[in-house]
Amino acid sequence: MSKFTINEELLSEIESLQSILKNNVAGMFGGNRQSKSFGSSCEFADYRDYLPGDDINRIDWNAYARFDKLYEKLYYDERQMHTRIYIDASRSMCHGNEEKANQALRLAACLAYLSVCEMEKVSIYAIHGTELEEVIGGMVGKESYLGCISKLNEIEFVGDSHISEAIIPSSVGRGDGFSIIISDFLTDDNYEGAIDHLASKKKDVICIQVLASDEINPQIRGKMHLFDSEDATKAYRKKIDNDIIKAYKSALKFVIERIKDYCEARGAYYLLAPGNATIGDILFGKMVDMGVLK
Amino acid sequence: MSFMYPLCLLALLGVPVVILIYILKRHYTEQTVNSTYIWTLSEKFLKRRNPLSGLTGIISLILQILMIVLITFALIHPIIKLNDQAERYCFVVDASASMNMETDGETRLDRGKKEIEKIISSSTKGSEYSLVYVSDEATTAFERVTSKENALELLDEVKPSYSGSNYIDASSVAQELFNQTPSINVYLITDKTFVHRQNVTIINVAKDEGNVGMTSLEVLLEDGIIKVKGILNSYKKQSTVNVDIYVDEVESPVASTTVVTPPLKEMPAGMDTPFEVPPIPFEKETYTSVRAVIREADSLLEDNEYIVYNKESNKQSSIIIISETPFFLEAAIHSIGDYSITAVSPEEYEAKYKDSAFGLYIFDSYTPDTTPNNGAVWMLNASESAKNSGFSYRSKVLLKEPANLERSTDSSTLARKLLNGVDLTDTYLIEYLRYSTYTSYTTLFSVAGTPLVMAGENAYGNRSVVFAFDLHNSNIPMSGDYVTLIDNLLAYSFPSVLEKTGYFVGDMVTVNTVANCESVKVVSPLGDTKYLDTAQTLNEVYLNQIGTYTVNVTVGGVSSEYKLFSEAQLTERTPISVEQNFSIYGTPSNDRIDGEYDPMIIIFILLIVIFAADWMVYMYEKRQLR
Repeated sequence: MSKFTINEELLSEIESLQSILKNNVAGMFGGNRQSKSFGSSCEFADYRDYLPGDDINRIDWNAYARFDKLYEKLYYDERQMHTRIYIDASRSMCHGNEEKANQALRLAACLAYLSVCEMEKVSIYAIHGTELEEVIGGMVGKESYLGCISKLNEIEFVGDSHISEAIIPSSVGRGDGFSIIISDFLTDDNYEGAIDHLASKKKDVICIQVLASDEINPQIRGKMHLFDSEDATKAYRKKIDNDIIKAYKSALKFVIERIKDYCEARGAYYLLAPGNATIGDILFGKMVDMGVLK
Repeated sequence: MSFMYPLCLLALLGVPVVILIYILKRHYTEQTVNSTYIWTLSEKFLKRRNPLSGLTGIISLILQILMIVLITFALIHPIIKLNDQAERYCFVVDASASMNMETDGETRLDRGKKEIEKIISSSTKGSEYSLVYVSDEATTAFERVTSKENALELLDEVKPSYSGSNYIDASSVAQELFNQTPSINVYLITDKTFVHRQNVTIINVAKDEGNVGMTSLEVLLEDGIIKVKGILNSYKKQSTVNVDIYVDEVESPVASTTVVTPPLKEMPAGMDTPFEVPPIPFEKETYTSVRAVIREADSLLEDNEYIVYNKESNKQSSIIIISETPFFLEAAIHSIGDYSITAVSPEEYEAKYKDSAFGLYIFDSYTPDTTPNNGAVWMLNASESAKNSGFSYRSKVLLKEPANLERSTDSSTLARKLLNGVDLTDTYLIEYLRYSTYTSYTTLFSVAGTPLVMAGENAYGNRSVVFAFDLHNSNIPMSGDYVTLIDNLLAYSFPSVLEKTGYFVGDMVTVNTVANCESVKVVSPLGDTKYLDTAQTLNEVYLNQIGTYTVNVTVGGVSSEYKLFSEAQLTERTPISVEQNFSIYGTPSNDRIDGEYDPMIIIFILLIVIFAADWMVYMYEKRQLR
């Protein structure tokens, strides 16, 4: 079982970040996220002619003095978003030095904290096979965060994972914020359905691909019989030399490009998070560059 | 094909060992990875691989097995038999003095050796090599040697002599080898030209070298003047040489002369050019040696110097004749040479000269009580026994009729030497004395088996001559050979260590052992030392080097030094000499012998190539796995 730690300095830095949603905000509860519909926030949006029955408190008396006509001031509505984080809890995320699992959990914790700081509701799920296990559900507020976040350490990375089959049947909400999938995506197509489904639900999808450093730059050489950590029947037996390594790197590039292209096509964000990269680099570097955070 | 070390085939056991190692190394390392997805996917991205990549292991195995096989081959040392490919060679090498002639720092013999080396090196392995080198006799250096290395080593040991070349002897040896195996290839390596030749390949190593040598030197000391004359023998077209004269081994020349040799008209006959050195004033009574040196030393160094040693300088020649009638003896000795003769009566001898020292004591018809011990002694007609004389008087024989002397048939060196040129068989005598000898005497003449003239050593070991008759009772003094006999006996009694001082290489020198001699040592020009047997009156020394031989004689703890000069033979001074014949008679056959081929070089080259290939495969594999 993976154990992750987050230092307080990083959390305090994360507080300075703000996430940017692309899709129309459609939360049910008032919150901190500015909606595209008019509501009762303090942020002025527009004027319209006063109609009988309107709240007289919103009449702009200065405009009435100037134009001798009643105008009703309109304000943006603010909704509470629901950030859903899906963590691929398959065996492949945790094998070896648990670099990937740690990185996935750290990212989930940081992004959850970011959402909590924005007064949003956060749910974290672990994908086990075709099942979606709710690890933390509807977490709101920093106190709740501090009380719940340790539950991430209880996620067991075992078996395999089918992202689409697990996410699609679940309640994913509609237009109510980010859906973040953290996985190694080392599969042919079982994530595409999930991205499509989430995109159709007006969710802002972020696919974070976590890869271990020895997956990005494998060091093994010679005659190797490699077994898959999720499925012992899957094996690869070869004399690994420079030619094979070149082919491997081409295949890896293909896999990354494929998911990246797919995400772009579906308006989703894609982020590669190497296992040995720091959270700071990912959040303040890559995600800011991508425009997900500011 | 045969193998020298077949047991080394066991090294092939390395092959299964290598295969076993290969199999053990072949296993794949098992490892569980996060996902094999990308590894499997990479197969689609695998471009056309270098075919070597997949085969490096098996190529390496094949190369290593090949290496073991080749190493085994090298260890068992295969010899491939080549049927009828090898030949027999007989090299006859002229090792005479002229082969010392140098050109560009290389002697003719060196050039000859190189020619032989070339033939041996290019011959098929398994060939047989014989080498005969020729000086004054033919010597077989090696015969039927089959190893090239051994043949070349033995060839290297052949050294030139300073003597002539006995081609008759050499051709006999070569003929014998030819008779045994008519397929033998005979090579004659020489600097001579042969008019007739048969069944022999002549390799002439003579180049157009010129040579000027000194062939004779005469020295005459007269009235305080030394006169030197000599002859230069030239084989140059025309040359001017300077001759320096050194006397008594003084370091600086006392005289010099320039000699212009005339143009050489016809090779190979050399041109003799006489020369005469201006008179050299000389204050001493006699000289020890005169040395003439050609200042411009040429290719044959050995004939650029000539030394004449004065034989007379060491001679002791004082004689005392104790006789009432010394005429026959005195006259004969006077006629022979410049001897200091003292003729006294027995009374005078007893009174004045008994304790004096003489080289030779001649007692004529008088017998002293004791034989003198400090010189040679002649006893003529001794009618009594003298102590330590080596004989004793027995009786007197009066002949009814004069009897002729009978010449000894003894073939000993002493008898031959003392009777040289002496006959006396027509002489007669009318009475004689009978003696019994108790030391070793050699009979020279006798009558009816009774020794009458004897030579030998007395009880002191001094040389002694005995006449068992009175000269006055015979007609011997009237004979022409009488003086010759006296001369021989004087030479025997005054033994010059050396009879003469000028010799040619190849001559046999007789060295006389003087009385009471403790040791005789002969040192050659090149420093070879030989001690002669002092028990022998005469010893013979063979001269095989050019230059000065030194003879050291020690008598009574005192050493005397005598020198002789051994010069090169005239035929060896010629740059190119013509000999008449060197033929091997018979019909050559084509009966070759089986040769051998040693493939070791090829095996080693293959080993190196395979090792390099294996190393390259290994490095390629390393690079691929980097």
